[in-house]
Amino acid sequence: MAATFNWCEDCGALTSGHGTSRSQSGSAPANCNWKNIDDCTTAYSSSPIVAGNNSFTKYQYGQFSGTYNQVLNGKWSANTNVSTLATGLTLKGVVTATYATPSTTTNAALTTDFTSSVAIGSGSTVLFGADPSTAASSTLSSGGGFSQYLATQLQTTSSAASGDMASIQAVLEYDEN
Amino acid sequence: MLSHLFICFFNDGSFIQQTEEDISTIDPVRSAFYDVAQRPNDVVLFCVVGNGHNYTVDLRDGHFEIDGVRFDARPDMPDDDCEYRLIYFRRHKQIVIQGKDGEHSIKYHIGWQTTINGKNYQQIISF
Repeated sequence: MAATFNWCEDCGALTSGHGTSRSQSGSAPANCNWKNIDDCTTAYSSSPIVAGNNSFTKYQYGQFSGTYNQVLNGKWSANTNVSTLATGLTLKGVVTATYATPSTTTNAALTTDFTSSVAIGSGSTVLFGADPSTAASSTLSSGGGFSQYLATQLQTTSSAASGDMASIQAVLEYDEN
Repeated sequence: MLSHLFICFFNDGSFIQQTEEDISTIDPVRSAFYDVAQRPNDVVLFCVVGNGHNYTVDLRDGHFEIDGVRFDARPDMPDDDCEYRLIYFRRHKQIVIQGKDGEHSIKYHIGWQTTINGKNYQQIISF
């Protein structure tokens, strides 16, 4: 079988170190775009980001289950394909075990700038554990678990053009045996 | 589903063959490679087979074979006798594209590592 992977997302107010709403295996996030609402279901076109404002911070992460020996060497980049975002757009991110209630306020905890593409080989180190809010190990042994949070926020200025931005490819890389 | 399966041969003539279920016989919540990892010093040959090709690393002298064609691929390292330790993993890329469906790619990696005078050397092929 090998390890089974699911993308997940936490939303809502901070509670017990994580979001009140947790979209994990069985209830996978349906819409992972940056937008002006704190959920993973609403279409971005229904909650667009107005130029000069930011998206809500998104807290995505990976879930592992199934049979495997080890999952290790986690790396993440929020932008591996767009050389530089358009004028007025900045993409910030961080790999973290710390969840904060998402808002549109500029998130100073997102310390890595992904406005220019970052190759996955130069991506941020990702740790693993029983919950994204406690993940602190470089390896994940049998029994399943999660990556840390892969937190991002799309920040804009009033000079951002209206309409869709370029599609961004985010990559979570890991080794398994 | 795994596109490539391994078979690992040990120095006593025994072997472990990975199946599509990929379950350890020692610990059923783990993969078959867990059984290999319990005998790291006994591995002689490690072969990965799939998509009509086979890839082998021979830990007796560190050479590789692809579809039976032998080749050496050594980094710049002392020519000492050394013990080669197996490297095997599958590198996953889970890709999420904002506004589109996600994608998933896997690359298989096999090779060896060795330590000479306290320095680690390794050689890996991927496919």
